[in-house]
Amino acid sequence: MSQKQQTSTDSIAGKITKAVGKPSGYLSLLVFLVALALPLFATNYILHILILVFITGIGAIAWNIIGGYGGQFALGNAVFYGFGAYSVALLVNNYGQSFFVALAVGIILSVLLAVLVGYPTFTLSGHYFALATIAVVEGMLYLVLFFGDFTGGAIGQSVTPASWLADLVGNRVIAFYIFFAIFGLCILISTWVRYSKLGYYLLAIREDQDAAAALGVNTTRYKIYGFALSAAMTALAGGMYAVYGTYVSPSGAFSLDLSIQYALITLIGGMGTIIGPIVGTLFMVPIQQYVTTVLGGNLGSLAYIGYGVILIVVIIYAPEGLVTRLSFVREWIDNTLPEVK
Amino acid sequence: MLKTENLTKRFGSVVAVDDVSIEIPEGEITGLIGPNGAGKTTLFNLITGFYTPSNGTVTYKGEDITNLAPHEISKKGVSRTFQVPKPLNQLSVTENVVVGALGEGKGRQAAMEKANDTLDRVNFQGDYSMTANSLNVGQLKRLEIAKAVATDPDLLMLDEAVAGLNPDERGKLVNVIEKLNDQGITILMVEHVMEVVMGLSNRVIVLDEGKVLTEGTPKEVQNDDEVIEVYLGT
Repeated sequence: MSQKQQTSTDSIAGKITKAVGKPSGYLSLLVFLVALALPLFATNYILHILILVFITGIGAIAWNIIGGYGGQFALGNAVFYGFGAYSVALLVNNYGQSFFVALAVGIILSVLLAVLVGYPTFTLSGHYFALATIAVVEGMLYLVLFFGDFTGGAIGQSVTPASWLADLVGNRVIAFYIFFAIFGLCILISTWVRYSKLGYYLLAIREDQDAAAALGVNTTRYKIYGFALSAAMTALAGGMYAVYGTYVSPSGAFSLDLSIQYALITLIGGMGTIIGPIVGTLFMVPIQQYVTTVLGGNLGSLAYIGYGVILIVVIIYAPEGLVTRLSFVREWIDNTLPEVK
Repeated sequence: MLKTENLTKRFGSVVAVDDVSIEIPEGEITGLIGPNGAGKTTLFNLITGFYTPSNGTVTYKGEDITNLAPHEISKKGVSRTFQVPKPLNQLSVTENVVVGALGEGKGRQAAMEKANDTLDRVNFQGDYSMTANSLNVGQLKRLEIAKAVATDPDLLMLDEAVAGLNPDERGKLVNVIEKLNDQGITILMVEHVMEVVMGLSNRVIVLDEGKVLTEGTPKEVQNDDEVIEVYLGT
């Protein structure tokens, strides 16, 4: 038995060496190292943008699990972001709970809500799920406004985390590494899911639900699993934003815009691929930040026109997403640069 | 092994399957034939849980499986293919079969190996790493069978497995089906190609307008006046 284990570790080590030896492998590693070294020379503003990339990216990666792998078009994932953000804001500020307890509550509530929305709608065929998710995020926004005494209403709620945490996230460089690490963790989760039973079942459901059922896949159950995981990761993003931004607002958190943005980013990057949502976020968030903050103020709404244009261009020239469209770059790199052994 | 009793399916005023009581004996190959619209595929859908019967029961190994969901019936050991193959288009050939092979408690590596073995078993010709949307008809038909076989069925239900193949490919696939049967899988096959169904089946059931017209050995069925009438017209 030990011998068998030995072979399997050997082959894993071998696989890693082989993957890194390929030009696309060592170039990726190089990009990763450059990213790690970024705080040495990047300005605080650029670090801020990258932190936003990580937080939005987690939401997009989460959306990709249910929307990309599972093919279930969720249009209300911001509700989980809102749960994460508001749980942290309310429990930390008003009830003196620690950040981790508050975050856990946000994640658990999100998973429960995902099951509650998923169970009745996943058993139906058609677009009920997408419609239900829109209804939930819009409904929750009104609830937050209605119970203003508890939630802070339209004004929102400022967040004062414990001083050690405030010090950590208040330092851009440290915050960059923390959020980068969590972003990396979410990429690992997404990669693991893709090659797990859950991933194969979700892909099968996306491709043909009847075929999946005939192969023994409990389609409703696995869609709920995928949605719940997506909800948990999105709540994590919301909770992280709450401590980083130190302020949550109902229109920012329970936002249909943000929900659609998760879907758009993934669509533009490449739905159902591991790196699609990552590429999509790296592409879209800086553009969005540039348009809204640099062009600023009156031109802010231009962001939407810009989004529209980008979306149209992508749909025409890269209907399967940038990743698929740009796969030739990887091939070119692998074919032109030398292999390292 | 599998028994239907008074199985009936109505769609509005149309009775697609009408009071069908049949029995599929263990270990054999049973052919299910009948003209277009006779209710063969509807019967498949009733047995495998894709349709809920209007009346009647389905019993498998002595257990009532009438109202179970498709995935539950698959887990019991009844697996089916579809008349129009349903490949998982964006996945590779192996990954298509992996979905069926990932039964309870099976890891990815084991499922991969099993998937490749199953593709070998059905004699799949071609590169297993191709995506399913690039396959030709012959490959699609084999993939469809491989997916079903990967779930470890005791009863395999084939819906027109050889339709659309040329005689040469057809012959090879017949060998595959025979081999699967030799390995202990009971087979129920809907088939239009008479030489295939008559050559392979131990017993043949003839459906017409939702009802069982007759059943018997291939020879008996071929010489049945009613069957000749249904197929050749009066």
